[in-house]
Amino acid sequence: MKKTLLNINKGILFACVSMYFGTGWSLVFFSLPSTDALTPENYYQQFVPPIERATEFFTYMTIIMMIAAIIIIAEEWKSHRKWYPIGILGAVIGATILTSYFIFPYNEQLAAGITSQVKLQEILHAWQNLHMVRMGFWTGEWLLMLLYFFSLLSGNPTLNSNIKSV
Amino acid sequence: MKKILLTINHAYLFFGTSLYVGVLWALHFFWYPSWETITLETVHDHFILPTKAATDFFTIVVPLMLLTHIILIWQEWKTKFRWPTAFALLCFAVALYIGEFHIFPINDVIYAGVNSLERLRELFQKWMLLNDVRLVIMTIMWLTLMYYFIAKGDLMSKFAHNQTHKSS
Repeated sequence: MKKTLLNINKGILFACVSMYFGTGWSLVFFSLPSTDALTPENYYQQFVPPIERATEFFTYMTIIMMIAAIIIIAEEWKSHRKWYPIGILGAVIGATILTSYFIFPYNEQLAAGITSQVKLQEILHAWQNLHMVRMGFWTGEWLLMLLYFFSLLSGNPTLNSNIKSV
Repeated sequence: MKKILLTINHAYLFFGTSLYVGVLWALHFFWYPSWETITLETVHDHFILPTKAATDFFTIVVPLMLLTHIILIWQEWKTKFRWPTAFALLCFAVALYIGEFHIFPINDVIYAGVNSLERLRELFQKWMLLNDVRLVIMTIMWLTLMYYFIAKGDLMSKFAHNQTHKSS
């Protein structure tokens, strides 16, 4: 029973990092390329409400991710594999700090209303650059989770050392 | 070498599936509510440009996913894991069928230009409903692959455990 719950916890964390991964890259591939076409008259509906919905959704999801990562760290504490969830937790914290302190101020300016085209493009370009940095964290989380699963699958050092030691 | 290639193969498949599912969930939660207020004037920037970009992107990603999925099933064919991996492929095939034969025709109508807002909203409602069906199917595929990786990990643990007992 405990093992099943721990496996579900791993699945939940992988689902959460995949959600960030998919959302982040979908923005890069599908939405950001059309930001040059945004004007003070049309940007609000296209940009602000989706970002506000995403912020609300991810605020709760980030808390779940941190709890799930801490549970895996505790579970793997005596194994070298603890470094994967530690790395994921570090990336989640890094992305959260980046978002809260650097991206949110731009979101607030956009939500308040921009009337100048030059100012709008300036903010959108800064936002895109910061989002690309954030993608580094989100992609890192996903890759670490994948590597963690593959390390479980092959079980190399721990399982192999068990075999060798007998 | 074979093991490394198979690992890359499986990693790519899960990468594609995660990206696909993530995009569909993001669409459902973050973009659909805005699309309900879309107008004939904003449809090009809000819908046509991103949808075309997404279609171009997944046209490259999807065939490789199919190939890697077939390799995964081939690898597991003589084990109990052939059923979950084959089921995941079935989910993927159904999702692709919905995209190709039900969603793409709606895209084509919207790309060609719709004259009435009522008709546009009607097409959007249908599009979002079909995409939600695809979202559920792709989520099941993602969960099935996740089950495969977790169960396979357990199997490896049991295998190592048996080896330990045999050796001692």
